[in-house]
Amino acid sequence: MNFLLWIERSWLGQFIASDTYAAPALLCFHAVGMGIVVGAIWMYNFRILGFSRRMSFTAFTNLKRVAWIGFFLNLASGVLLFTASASRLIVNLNFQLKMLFMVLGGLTVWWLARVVAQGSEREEPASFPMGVKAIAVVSALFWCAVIFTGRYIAYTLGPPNF
Amino acid sequence: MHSIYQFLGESWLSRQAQAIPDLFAISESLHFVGLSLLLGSLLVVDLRVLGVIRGVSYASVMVFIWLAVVGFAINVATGAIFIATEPSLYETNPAFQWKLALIAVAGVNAGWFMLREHKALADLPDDAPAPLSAKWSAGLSLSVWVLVILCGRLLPTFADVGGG
Repeated sequence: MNFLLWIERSWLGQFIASDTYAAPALLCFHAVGMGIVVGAIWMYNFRILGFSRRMSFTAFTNLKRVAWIGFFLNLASGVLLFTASASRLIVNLNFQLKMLFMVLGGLTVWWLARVVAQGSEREEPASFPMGVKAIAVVSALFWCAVIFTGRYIAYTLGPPNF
Repeated sequence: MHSIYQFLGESWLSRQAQAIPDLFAISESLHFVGLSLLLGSLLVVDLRVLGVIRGVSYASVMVFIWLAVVGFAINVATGAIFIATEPSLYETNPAFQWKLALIAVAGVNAGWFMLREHKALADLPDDAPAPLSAKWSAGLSLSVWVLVILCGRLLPTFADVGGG
């Protein structure tokens, strides 16, 4: 906790917390990055569920790179926003759940990508087994939960510690 | 003459918004869901036209445009809830006026794309590049929608400007 307070009281943390435009600008990056990451993952989920079956998974090799750019955009803007209220965020239930859902969402996408990669050895499967489709639904819901818990941080963040 | 802001502010929707404490926050979250559906779908379509996504036909990626339509519909509905809840936050807000203007530009561009570019693209084989005019339209689409997101995200920052 001392370390988190030190981050908050650092020049960077103070600047982001107090400047009129720093936090809004970072939130702008965070919103665009969210749309890229979650949007790309949802398209992947929909494709596995049978949406546009004629489209080969080749399409996602380049979209994956774009999605990673979005992810790092949000990692950077997220870490910077974190410095402004580190000690309050770490104890915030919605923040904790958001981190958990991100890990779970990431794991499901990683698992799905493995299944898809195995399929490409032969012909692409006309349809995925129900178990795989179920994971695609769960994956989409995890990323939905990331959005909801993320938005609710704004409503549940405690007062500053100084 | 009643404005749309007055109309929504005095509507049934507005009374629901006052009565249900979490409606605004839930709508905000759903607005982000709609945003992600819209942007994700446009990434697939526009990046194929731009040539960033390769090896798949335009016709096969175009199926994803329906998810952009769903996302946009979610955001019009949740957007109406925002205005109904707090009309003064939007009526004089320059960020909101820019946002509406940019959505209009995106709409005209989408109309142009569907009427003028879509037909030629639909017959393209898997790896064939799109015509330059279609690429400009796809690039404009992604740029304008990103600006729409930025204006939306900056709404609270500019809420008191011009409001007096």
